[in-house]
Amino acid sequence: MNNTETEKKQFSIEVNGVSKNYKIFGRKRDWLKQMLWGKRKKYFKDVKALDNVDMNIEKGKVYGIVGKNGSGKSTLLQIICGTTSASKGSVRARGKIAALLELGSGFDPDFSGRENIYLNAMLMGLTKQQVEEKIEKIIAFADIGDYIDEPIRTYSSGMVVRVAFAVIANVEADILIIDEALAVGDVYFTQKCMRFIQRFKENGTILFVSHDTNTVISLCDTAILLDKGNKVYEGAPKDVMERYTRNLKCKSDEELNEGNARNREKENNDRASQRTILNRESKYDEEWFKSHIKKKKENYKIVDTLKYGEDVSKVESFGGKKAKIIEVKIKNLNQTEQGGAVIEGGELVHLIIKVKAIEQIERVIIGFLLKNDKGIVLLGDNTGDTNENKEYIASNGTMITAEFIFTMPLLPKGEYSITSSVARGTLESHNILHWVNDSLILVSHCTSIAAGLAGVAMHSIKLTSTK
Amino acid sequence: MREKNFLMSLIENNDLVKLFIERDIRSRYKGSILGMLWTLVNPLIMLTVYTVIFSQVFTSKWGKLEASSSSIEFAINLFAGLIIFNIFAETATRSANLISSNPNYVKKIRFPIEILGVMVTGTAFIQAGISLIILIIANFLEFGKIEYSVLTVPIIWSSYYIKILGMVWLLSTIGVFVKDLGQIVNAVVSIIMFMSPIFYPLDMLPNTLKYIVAINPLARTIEQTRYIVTRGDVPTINSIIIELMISIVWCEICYRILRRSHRMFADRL
Repeated sequence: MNNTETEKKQFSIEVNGVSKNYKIFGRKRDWLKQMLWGKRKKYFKDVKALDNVDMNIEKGKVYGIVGKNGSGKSTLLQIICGTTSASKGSVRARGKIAALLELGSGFDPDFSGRENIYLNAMLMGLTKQQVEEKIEKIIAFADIGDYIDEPIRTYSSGMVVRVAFAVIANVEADILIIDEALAVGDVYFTQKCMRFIQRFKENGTILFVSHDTNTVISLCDTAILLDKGNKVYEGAPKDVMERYTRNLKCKSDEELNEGNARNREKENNDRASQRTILNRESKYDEEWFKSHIKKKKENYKIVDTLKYGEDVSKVESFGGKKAKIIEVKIKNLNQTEQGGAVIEGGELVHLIIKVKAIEQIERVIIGFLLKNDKGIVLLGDNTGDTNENKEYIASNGTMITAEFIFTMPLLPKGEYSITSSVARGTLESHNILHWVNDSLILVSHCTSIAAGLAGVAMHSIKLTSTK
Repeated sequence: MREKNFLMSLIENNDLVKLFIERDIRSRYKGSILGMLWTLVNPLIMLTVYTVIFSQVFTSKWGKLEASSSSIEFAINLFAGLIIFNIFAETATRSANLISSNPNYVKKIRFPIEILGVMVTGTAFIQAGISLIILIIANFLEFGKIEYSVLTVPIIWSSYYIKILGMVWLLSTIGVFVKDLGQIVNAVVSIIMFMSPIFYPLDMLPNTLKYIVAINPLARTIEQTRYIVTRGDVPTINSIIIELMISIVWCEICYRILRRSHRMFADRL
């Protein structure tokens, strides 16, 4: 971004080339020696927590920070909040910051929720009188009943976060900084927080750290990915989360070997004890189903597939050295002809994933995820539980075909994608060999779904009135 | 942005300071049956014990007083000295690991760290204030009069307060970097106990030792408080002003040291 452009926009938070080094002294005495010797000698080890990170956050935007544990997310937030200073670079924040850095960090466990509300709100710059005016609103937001007058140490972590969030939601801050804390709240409270955040966005800026893909994608306007203190990527939340999961899933070779050894051991145990057959094939009466949805059928001229049978090697993917996904296609089970498949929702579909084994692979798992255009996973399954998996050894060069037959739900209007992957190991411990994002795109024109991410066949809708 | 001085910080954080002192005192007695009454009971017990020990066991006399002086007089004089000394002892011991035992206030939230020092000092002075009232009452019961000069105690104590506050800020800063400070402070506190005119009046010392006590900042406050209450002596305005000026300069220096070091705290804890 060039300078003139930067000046024109009003940024809420500007982070310029921020680095953070921690000096690690082997022994306490080394620190003293360092003080005495100044810069002439070096007694410490430098640990880089952040390396030259730039970030500009516009007013009214929700910004997500994503990264593995230890990638520097919390350090960055601490520097922005001012609890830690940067070794290099500068941070500028316009407006009042309210931060929820760590669960219950500003709380005194021996004091009641009410007293801690006073303490926290005043720490965020409210006067005692202002807190008194707001206390009822805050308590109502936290909504933990009579517990509010009990000591915080008797609270569950969900209750602590309720109180903490209630405070920062009511101090009229300009910038909200939230560090993974929302994860412990229950659904009702999380929804409440989300509604608050949506409203807050109109006037304020939010900086948000989370590991939860769905939250980041649904909440953030932009996200950045940190890895080992470096900003690796900045962009649309969906792209960032895809990169992030890719980083997580590509495990190193050592881990892979270790995992295999463990698997073999477990397998032997399994063999000795029992052999269960886990073929999951549900009995399904399609005729019955069709007769029920027939009436509304005109409304859902539903799913077209694009990229049918297209060469998946062009699609974004990672891995693929030991096994490769060659082809992914989906068709209506009753449809016999090749070519562009029309899939109406609510029928049986046939998903085929073809994988070529480049090396010998034991215990192949092939799976897929159906995502909507926000990247939220609607459904997914894999071959991991089936009996074949235990015995299956693909020698190099073989073609493995995984077939899934399932009922496609009714999908609201929009684009959907199927992500497919091949792995080896067990469901609990496996290594992804090849992962293809958006290996198949489905387009739905359905308009018959009133609400929700996916629909089921509505067997009957009735309206009666009585006097 | 201009640096605040310590007085501005105190005024700005007034609400928070009150809240913290209140919490500090309450947390001390939280869950106990007598609760806040302990602040009253403790000094009463102390005064009683001293009276019994020093009038019955040691039969000590205060300084060069006549033998006819009453048995409680020694206890009153001793108690006056101890009130001042206890402020110092309590704040010094607590400040050594004040910041390192509250890492949340450094690492997790934006917090005016000087408040912790004000809290410790404030709590100690409130307890001392209650003890002072007991002292004045005891003096009244024994001698049947209250000197009007007790009204000047707040003035004497305010410069003592500022002095102690500076010390707490300084010690708590050092305590972050030097973990041995707690032990050092314990030793120094015991030494100062005997170097201060608590168990003896200042003029009982031989001249060669007097200057050691004179440079001890506690000594003047102890003597002044003691004689304001028991004899009605009022220190001169000049000495009060000089004392106050020195205290303010000292406190401001300590405050700046704390502010400068603040940014390094998060990395050291």
